[in-house]
Amino acid sequence: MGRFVLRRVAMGAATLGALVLLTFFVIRLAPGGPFSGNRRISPEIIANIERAYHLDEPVVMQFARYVWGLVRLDFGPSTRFRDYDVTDILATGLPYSLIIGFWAMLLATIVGIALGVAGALRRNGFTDYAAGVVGVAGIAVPLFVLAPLMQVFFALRLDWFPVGGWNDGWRSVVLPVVALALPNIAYISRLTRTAMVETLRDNYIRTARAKGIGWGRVVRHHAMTGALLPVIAYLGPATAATITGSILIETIFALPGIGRHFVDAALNRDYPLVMGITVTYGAFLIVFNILTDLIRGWLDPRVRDAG
Amino acid sequence: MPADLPDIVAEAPSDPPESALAQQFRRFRRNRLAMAGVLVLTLIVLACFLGPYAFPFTGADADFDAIGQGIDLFSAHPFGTDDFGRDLLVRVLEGGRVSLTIGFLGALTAGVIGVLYGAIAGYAGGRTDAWMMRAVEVLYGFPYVILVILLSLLLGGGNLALFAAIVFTLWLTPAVIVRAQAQALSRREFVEAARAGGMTGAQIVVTHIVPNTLSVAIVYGSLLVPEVILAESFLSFLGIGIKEPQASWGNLIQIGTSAMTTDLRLLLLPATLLATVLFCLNFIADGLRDAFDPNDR
Amino acid sequence: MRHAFRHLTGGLVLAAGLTLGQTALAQDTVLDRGVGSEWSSLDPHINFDAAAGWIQMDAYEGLITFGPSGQILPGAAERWDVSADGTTYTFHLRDGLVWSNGDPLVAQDYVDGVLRTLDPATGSEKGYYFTSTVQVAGAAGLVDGTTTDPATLGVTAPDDRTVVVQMESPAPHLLDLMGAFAMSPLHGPSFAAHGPSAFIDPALFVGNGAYVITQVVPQSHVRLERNPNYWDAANVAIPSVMYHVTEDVATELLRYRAGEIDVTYDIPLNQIPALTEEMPDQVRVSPATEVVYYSFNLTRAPFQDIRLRRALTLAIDRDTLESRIVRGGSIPSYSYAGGFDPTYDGPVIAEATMTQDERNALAQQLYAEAGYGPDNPLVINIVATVAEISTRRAQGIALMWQQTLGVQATVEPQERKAWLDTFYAGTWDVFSDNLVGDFAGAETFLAYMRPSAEAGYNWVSPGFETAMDAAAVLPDRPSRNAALALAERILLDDYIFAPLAIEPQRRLVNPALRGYEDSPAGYNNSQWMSFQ
Repeated sequence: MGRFVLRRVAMGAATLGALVLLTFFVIRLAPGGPFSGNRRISPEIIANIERAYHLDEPVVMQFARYVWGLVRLDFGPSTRFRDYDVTDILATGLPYSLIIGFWAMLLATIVGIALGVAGALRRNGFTDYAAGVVGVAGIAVPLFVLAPLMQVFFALRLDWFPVGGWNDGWRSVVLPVVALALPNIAYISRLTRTAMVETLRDNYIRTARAKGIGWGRVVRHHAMTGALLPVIAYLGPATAATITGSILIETIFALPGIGRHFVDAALNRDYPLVMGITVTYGAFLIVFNILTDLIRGWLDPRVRDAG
Repeated sequence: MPADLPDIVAEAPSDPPESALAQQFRRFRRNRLAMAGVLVLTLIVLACFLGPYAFPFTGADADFDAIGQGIDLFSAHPFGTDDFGRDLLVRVLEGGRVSLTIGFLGALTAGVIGVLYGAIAGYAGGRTDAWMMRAVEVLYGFPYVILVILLSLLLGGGNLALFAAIVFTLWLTPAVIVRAQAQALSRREFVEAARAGGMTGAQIVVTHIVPNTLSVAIVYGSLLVPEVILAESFLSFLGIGIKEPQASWGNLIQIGTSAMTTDLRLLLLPATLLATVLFCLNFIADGLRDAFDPNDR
Repeated sequence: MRHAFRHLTGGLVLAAGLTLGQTALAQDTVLDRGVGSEWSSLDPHINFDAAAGWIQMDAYEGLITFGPSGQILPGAAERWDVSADGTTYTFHLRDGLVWSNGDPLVAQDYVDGVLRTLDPATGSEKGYYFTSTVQVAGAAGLVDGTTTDPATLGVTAPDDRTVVVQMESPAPHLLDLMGAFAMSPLHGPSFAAHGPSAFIDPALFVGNGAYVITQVVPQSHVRLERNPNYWDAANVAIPSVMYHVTEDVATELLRYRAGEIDVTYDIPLNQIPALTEEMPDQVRVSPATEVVYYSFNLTRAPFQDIRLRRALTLAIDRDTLESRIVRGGSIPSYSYAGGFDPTYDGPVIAEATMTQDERNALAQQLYAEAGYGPDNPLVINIVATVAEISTRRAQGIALMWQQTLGVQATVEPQERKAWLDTFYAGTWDVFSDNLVGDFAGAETFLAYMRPSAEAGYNWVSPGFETAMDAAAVLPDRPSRNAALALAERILLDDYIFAPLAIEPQRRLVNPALRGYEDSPAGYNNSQWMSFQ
């Protein structure tokens, strides 16, 4: 197990390296650059600015400089937010995204699995349909429609929560967490239900029932592990994406997380920030994939990674 | 079939495919909810592809004197007009053509690629699986917006670029999920038996692994269709997407959302259709899963 | 590594604190303003964002300042003299000016500010004000690195209370540039001790404006409090100002309705008619210093025929376009540089006085003369940005060209950087173009149209260059404006673009707020405002 983890961590570092290499060179292929914004500025002034950010050097040199910075956890200065280093931006914004994302994933996992199991156990009954509708409603109504509706209803009309911003303590967190959880609830509940139904039909379940073991125990001890395998696999990338912030939720609820940088940094051609975001997201993704592989291996020993 | 015979007996390649298929088809037909879903979906598809011909104008015909008309079921514009004086119902139907096509094609393509990739990775295990999954991680991590911008550069800003931009990363999560399933399946007895019986890896993947992961794949795929349709509205901010004056459910829903508090009608029509399609797909997916489940007796 | 950890734990503590603590919503002692997307910098010599400029205008004061409706008022300088030839301005600072920490504010601080702006190592785009918008003596040499000697700069401080600005050619609009946005002083000791952090860290901040920065939360807000050492502090009514990042315009509207914001950054386009009906006194749509026009690609064959360019220009029903299709509050315009400066009596295109039907008829005639018709329609693309107002306008114009002339135009929305790149790549037929002026006057727009200033239009016009050169040597506004009008006549007569509209600023303003007025240059200093 320890060797497995070490091996995966080493592979993870290599993957991150490949990601950094690929991203660094490919982002420069997009038209325009960080300072190609204003047509009126003279070329001399633009050249000055680019020199200050080492953008006039050959790309390979820039990459070497970047890697040297990475080793010391220095992601370089942002080209769009001139007052801050990318490290500052990520360090100040990440906690907000993490808080929202963590609670959203927790809520989604608990509710999603509960709905999925309930639906599977009462298959094709009313509970199943109700659970199905509730679950899927999370993506039947697009998030950019649902979130403003929540704001109008719960914030403006009922005044239970603020419309946006992070100035109101835990109240600021409720609507974004629920909104962010909803699409995940849909996927998690559907995956759980399907996998559970499959597992419940499986032969070894029949055998257990034939032996007289009660439904409760069957579900808890036998069916859940099989049912959860695909969900846990899904949770790897889903958690990484959710906790690094959703641009939609953070924009609509005006939260100071890092979610918007996933889109804005690229649109602004803020190369260092794009790289910083990529490294952060990539790291989370790799870690969560390792974790989910471990969990699945623990739940179902047959799954243990042989390679 | 007796309950405890190994599945390989049911799945032996020498079985004529027709009878199994007919059996599955019959099982599907008995599922009333699924059939209702098929019916409603067919009606919607027919309406989108044939409906606009019933009108004397197209969704691109602007009538500046009839801007923003409301619902008047017996007038020339039964569901009113939009900001440019174009008939809303026709635009929603025409939009459905594009959105449903891209939605289904996109989800199907992503699903097929994801299932095959995941099945191969999960079954093969070892170094192959490691490389394949690391490639998946790199593709996940790469900044999506840059990818879209480059695709639009390469392929123009039209429908091909849109399709590529959507499918390019959509297959990743199905691949991850199916790989997990495949890993579990690969250690099962019937697969060992197949291997012992001399089947090649490719045959095993196709005849054993993939069919047993299909239910999860189909259910996940049914959720992907609306995601594809809505992704188009996000991508339009990046310069890729359905070009005006062509309508699509993505851009209609987006326009409807910004007018939500003043004119709900603009949002309600396309959003309701999209939600209906989603629910139909859900029931159909469940029905397919029930019908094609190899374990079901 | 430790640097990052310290920030991460600090961030977590801050986030946890803000989560657990309970802060009350805004009260009448705090002015809450929306600022759009996050400020690019709080460094006054680097920041180029107009919205972030509001923060700058509150925290610093230039030689002049802008009044509530954008009029030029004495700022740090109580009066100024202009030389007879219009090239030298002498500003006399008030007596007893101090920085927010009590240090005396001297003329050299302003000179140091300009030097820092021009220094290539600072990497500031604002040097452009001193080399292009006006030509300050010696500025160009400092910018391109020909010299590093500060003594060569034409901005000097002969004594502690006098700033002299020496230009290479006269420019009456120099005063518009002497506000805090281009001309912020530099507090030497802070900058020497802390570098650029002196501008963004509230604990180190030293300014000379009506307010001081007391809190900076990236991606969220900047908070300012009244500066007791400001020379006019007695007349500053509102004690605190908060600038909130408001990325999503729909959310900003909701926050305004909830009372969380007093002055918004923008208004959602399709809410404007409903809001104007519901709360007409709160909806403030007024002209900004930005012009919108559709440029024709002069390197492509169809557009080399002036008849076609005229036809396309005339076949647009500007009133219907802006009032019924775009509905963003833009003001239809038949000229390029007119409508910003009331003293500028500029020309309009020849057909401006016709009715739209007459224009359409003339357009159809010209279109046919240029060789196009139903069996030979013009097939072109319009490159616009993905912003909603831009795509609506493009769609509307495409529809109009199709209905009136039979032109087949496809709209290609592109994200901003790609859109700019396309301009220079020349892969467009019609370009949805816009220009933001440096001040509310005609010259800032006309100067840009010089082929020597912007080669991207591929326009050859020695006549225009000569006319602009003639205007550039005139020292006073009236004669200069008259000469500029002659130049604009030449520009409009060539129909190299179709003038469309003047873009507006759109704000929702709390009815209890006094002192907020429509200001064309876009400056609304908080110091003039008060709550009723």
